[in-house]
Amino acid sequence: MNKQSELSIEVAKKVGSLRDFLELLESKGQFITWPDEVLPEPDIRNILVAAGDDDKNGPAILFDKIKGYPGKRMVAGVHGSFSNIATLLGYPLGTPIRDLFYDIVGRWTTEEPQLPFIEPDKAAIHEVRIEENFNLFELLPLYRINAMDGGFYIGKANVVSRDPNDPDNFGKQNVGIYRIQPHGPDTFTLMSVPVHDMGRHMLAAEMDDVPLKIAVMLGNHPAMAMFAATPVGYDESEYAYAAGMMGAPIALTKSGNGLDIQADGEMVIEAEYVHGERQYEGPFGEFPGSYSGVRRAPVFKITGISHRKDPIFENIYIGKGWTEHDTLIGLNTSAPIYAVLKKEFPEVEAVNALYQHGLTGIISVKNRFAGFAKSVALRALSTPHGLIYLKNLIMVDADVDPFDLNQVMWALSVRTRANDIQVLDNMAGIMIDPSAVIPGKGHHLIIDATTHMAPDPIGGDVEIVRRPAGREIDEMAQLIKSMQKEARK
Amino acid sequence: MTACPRCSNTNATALHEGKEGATVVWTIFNCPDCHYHWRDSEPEESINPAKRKAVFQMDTSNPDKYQLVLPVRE
Ligand SMILES: [Zn+2]
Repeated sequence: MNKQSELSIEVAKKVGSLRDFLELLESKGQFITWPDEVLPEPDIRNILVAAGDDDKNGPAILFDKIKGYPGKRMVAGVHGSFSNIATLLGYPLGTPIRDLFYDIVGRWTTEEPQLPFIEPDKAAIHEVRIEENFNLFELLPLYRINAMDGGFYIGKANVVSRDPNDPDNFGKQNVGIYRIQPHGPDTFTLMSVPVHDMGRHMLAAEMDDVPLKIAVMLGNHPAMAMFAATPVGYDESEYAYAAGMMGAPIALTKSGNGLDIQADGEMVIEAEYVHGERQYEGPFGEFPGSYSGVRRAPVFKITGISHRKDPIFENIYIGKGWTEHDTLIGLNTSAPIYAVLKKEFPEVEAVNALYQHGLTGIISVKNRFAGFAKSVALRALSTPHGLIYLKNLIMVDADVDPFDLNQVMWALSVRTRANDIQVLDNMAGIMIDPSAVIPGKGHHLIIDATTHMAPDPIGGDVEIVRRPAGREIDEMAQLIKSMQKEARK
Repeated sequence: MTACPRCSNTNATALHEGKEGATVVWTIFNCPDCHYHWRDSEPEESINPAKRKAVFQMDTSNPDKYQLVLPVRE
């Protein structure tokens, strides 16, 4: 059942493309055009780091005076703050993260998704068609995202591929975010490992010696950027999922090489997998705030390009946090963990896995008896994401908002005893955790910061202050803010 | 042919020139050996081998040192 509010459906209906969303952000003061000329390096990364520091209200920023790229436009920070995410979901600026979280978990929907098909000759994305003399370095205002990256990365592409042995199956068509490093005017590497759907498609193509065609979509519908990174089942369509989550249509069309692409995207780069070829890829500044090393990655050759007139190249700043990457994937990392836990433990209230893709997570739970929260924590560690990502887990009571770090620190301060800390050593971990002694292995740490309950001794004669809370207090806070605004005039 | 800031080989060539009007304002180079790309207007930490940290330099004489992301079918 789709529990979206009327307002959010209204907003979703207005937003059919990146351009629509930028217009909406602009109307809220969440989108700015950089007024001065910038050098591709280091100006763009410097400006995006400065904007990204404000995870609550940072704006999307468009650059249209990039030195050496006259006439080209590039935007980043589109999902760079929770106010931008709130705008996409149909909420006012400054909506608490917890409310956005509940909105997303409430949207898991079974309604028929709306995916209207636009004939390619009428689709905006095909306004300009290029069939030869491809040059990525001329077409896109490429720049080095972090100073020691191995190239000029495209970090926010949605890549479409079909199972090469089941090419007519719409559901098995995969859309994912994979980083792309342009290598030559018409070649690039794509970072995908065997466990990714894309990796599976590449291995299958090579095994059976069949071609693998892909479509790299740039400047996408903001819901696609947000939800294509959410793990859905192998035979579920990311388009259907994103449209279902938005409760509004996402228009599709065909790419020149026969894949389903967004009709109102900014650009599509069509390419074919070069069997057996690997090229040096990396380093790349990753979400833990460290560089991945150099590896040898699969290569693709461009076969066609379409784009809108005056296309906007949308990219992302990713590196040492806080960055747009954290805001983009944070809630969609948290929601599936919550969904799994909630089925077995209805006592779970909320899951915050915003930090470094969940390397540190905070779960609030109605504690039932001594030790209960620790068992819930163990279950979280066996969810698909928790298995390798949830390294440090803090368990708090249901009266603590896990998205409010002041409250979490309060719980840590007053509800933790030394024996509430469990360390599970020698477990699976992510390859790119900078603290790993052996990449791919590490610890899980559980800090149980929930209230002590029987049969544990409570100790002392403690009563917690009942802090006034609820709508009345929230409205009061708003009133105080507006009084302050008046006073500053 | 230009020296690559990352692998020190000297096979790099110009790939693309950024222009303002008729003036070339920067050039992107490409090293065919280690596949580094750089723009000659970038800060030195990225493009001056003397200023780059040693850990980021590459030795292309030993490709097996660099992990395969996806196994190649023999
Ligand atoms: Zn080189």
